[in-house]
Amino acid sequence: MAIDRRRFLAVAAAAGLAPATLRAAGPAPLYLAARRAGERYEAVVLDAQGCDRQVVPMPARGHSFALDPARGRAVVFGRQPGFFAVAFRLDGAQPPVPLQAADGRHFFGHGVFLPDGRRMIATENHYEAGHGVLGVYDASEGGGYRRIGEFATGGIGPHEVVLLPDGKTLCVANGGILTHPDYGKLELNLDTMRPSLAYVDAADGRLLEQVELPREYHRLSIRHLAVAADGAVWFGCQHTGPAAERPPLVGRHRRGRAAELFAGPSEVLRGFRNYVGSVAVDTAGAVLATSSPVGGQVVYWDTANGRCLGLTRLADGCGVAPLAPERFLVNSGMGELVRAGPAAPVQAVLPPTAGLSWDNHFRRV
Amino acid sequence: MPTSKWLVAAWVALAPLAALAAPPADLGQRLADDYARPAVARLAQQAEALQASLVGWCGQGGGQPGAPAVGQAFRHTVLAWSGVEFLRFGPLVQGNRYERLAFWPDTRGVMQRQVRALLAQADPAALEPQALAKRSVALQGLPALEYVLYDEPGLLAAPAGADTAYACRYAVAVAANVAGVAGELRQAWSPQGDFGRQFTAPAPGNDLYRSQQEVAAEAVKALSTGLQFARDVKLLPVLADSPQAARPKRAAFWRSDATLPALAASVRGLRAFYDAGGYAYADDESWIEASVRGELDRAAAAVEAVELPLQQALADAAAWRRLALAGMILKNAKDIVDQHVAPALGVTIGFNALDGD
Repeated sequence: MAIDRRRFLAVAAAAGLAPATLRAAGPAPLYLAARRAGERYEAVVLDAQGCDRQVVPMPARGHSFALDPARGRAVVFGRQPGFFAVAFRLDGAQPPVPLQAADGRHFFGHGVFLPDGRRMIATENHYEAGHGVLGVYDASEGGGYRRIGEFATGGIGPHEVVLLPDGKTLCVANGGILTHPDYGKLELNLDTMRPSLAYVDAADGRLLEQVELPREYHRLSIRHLAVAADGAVWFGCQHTGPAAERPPLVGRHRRGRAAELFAGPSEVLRGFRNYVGSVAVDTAGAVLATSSPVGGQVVYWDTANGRCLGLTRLADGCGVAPLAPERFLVNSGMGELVRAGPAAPVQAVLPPTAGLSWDNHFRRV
Repeated sequence: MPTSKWLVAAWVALAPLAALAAPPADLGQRLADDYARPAVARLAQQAEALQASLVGWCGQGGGQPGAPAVGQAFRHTVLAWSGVEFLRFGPLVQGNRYERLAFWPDTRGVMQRQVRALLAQADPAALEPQALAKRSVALQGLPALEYVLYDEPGLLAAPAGADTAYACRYAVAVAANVAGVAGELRQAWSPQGDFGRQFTAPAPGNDLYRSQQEVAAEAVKALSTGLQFARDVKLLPVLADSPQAARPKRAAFWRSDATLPALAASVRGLRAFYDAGGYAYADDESWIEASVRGELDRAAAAVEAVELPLQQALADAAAWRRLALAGMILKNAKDIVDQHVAPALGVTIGFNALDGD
């Protein structure tokens, strides 16, 4: 994989990784997304009207972000199997910094900053050993995002990681799917998958709690996470078993308890096509949005009780980000950007655009 | 080497304007009758023949005289599997059937480790009828059978009466397991099988397929991912960047040197599966038909033109280039399927849905 890194650095140098800063960030909320625009892959800082504030070129397709709102920073990760990441300032005041995956590791596409800004943590694949790790990076001033260690995630294929409201506990979705970069995303262990949620101490990597779903759901890969106002972790899953099986895809976990799964109405469940691509809670932390680009729908849930609140249809819609209470910004692989939610009609922000594709994740900062 | 991307299981969606393009009204029936049913029946027959051949041979204590016939039966089973493996939906993904038939790629060498441990234990209970089906999938399928026939202990090359009776009985048990799983596939695809019924007669009340459009989406996905698997998983990791860097042991069925025939059989199978659909195109899209068929034929022919054993072929610059060319053609064929066949059938492939995460 050394070639990939060399190639990336060459591309990064050629591209100059020069941010096209249009306007300094103000106090209004900003949004981050990765996209493909023509033949280019970019990370973008947007306002709520969908206007570009900053564009960060990338050597290949991006995925999601680690956010450090207090210091106006973010890191975008390459999508799995990703061998690059790019750290940048939201205001574009300094040039972006390319990062490369450590030897024998690749990024899965998600990460977090710790609140003090001294550490950045990313989900990674230790692919020869076939187990998941959290890469720990020095994000302090002058630290240069040096990789200073790694923690085990207690499982295979860790995908999204979130930080709990205590600011020191990480929750990782171990998707359970073994992959190897030589074979892209090919699933190498469907027969023995054991997805789990793992709580890890961000300071020392101690595994604090690990939760599995009931045995009959061993092919239900837990992928995406959001934390509700009450501190419960909500998760979205992708079923790797036969299409005729329709397990529930959305769940909640509260520390010390068993995980709960919520199926919703059967037609809504069928409409997911066994796939949740992204999850987010609204600004009040009361409504969860779960998107399925495969099924072309975004479904809303009451985080108080797991009741399905309705859905929005959007072809190839995937990225969801909080806009207001009960309102979300949703984008799609067709270039669309809309305001949507369970209680009000959909409002277009950007129309479908040929040659423009928003990537899976959409984050508010 | 470029890192390959791999499609996750579900990525096709029905086009919003599906009425503009439509698959044949009897698409499911055609695909089942003209391709899938004969293909799974052939696999079941070959596996049964392999089992019978092994039973007789092992019963005589093995040895050289009968070995070529066993090897031949194994190869025929692998070739039949090559025509089935890309039907990776429905019955083949239920109950780990795919992995039970062929646990590969095996990046951590699980099969070899587990087979060695089993042979070392020589536990007779593991070979009782149905017992293998409850063990690890890595012990149950064609790669494990290939290992004992061609590698360790290498039954086909061992002299008669060698101390290989347990391994031979294990080979029989694996062949029986493969035949059993293949028989389940044949039953599930048959008109009496629940899957066979739904696939051939999609209807609004069905759980699995509600329209021919949904059947078309399944077919296009199988075709596209089959082409991608052939190139990105079977071919490119083996070829690497040059003849010097090639990695023959990354190949499927390298021990029996069935790699290239199996690859060609898969591509021929994909062509026949495409033909079975009987897709019709608008006048200005009529080029698609000839183009898909031509690319699949050229890819298969490029692989078939390599007559050297795999290891020598990879080290030979001309043969290596021929295989690299096959990879390029497969890529082109997949692009045509994704960009032209899919929309002509009312199936769109989304950016996020395409390469899910």
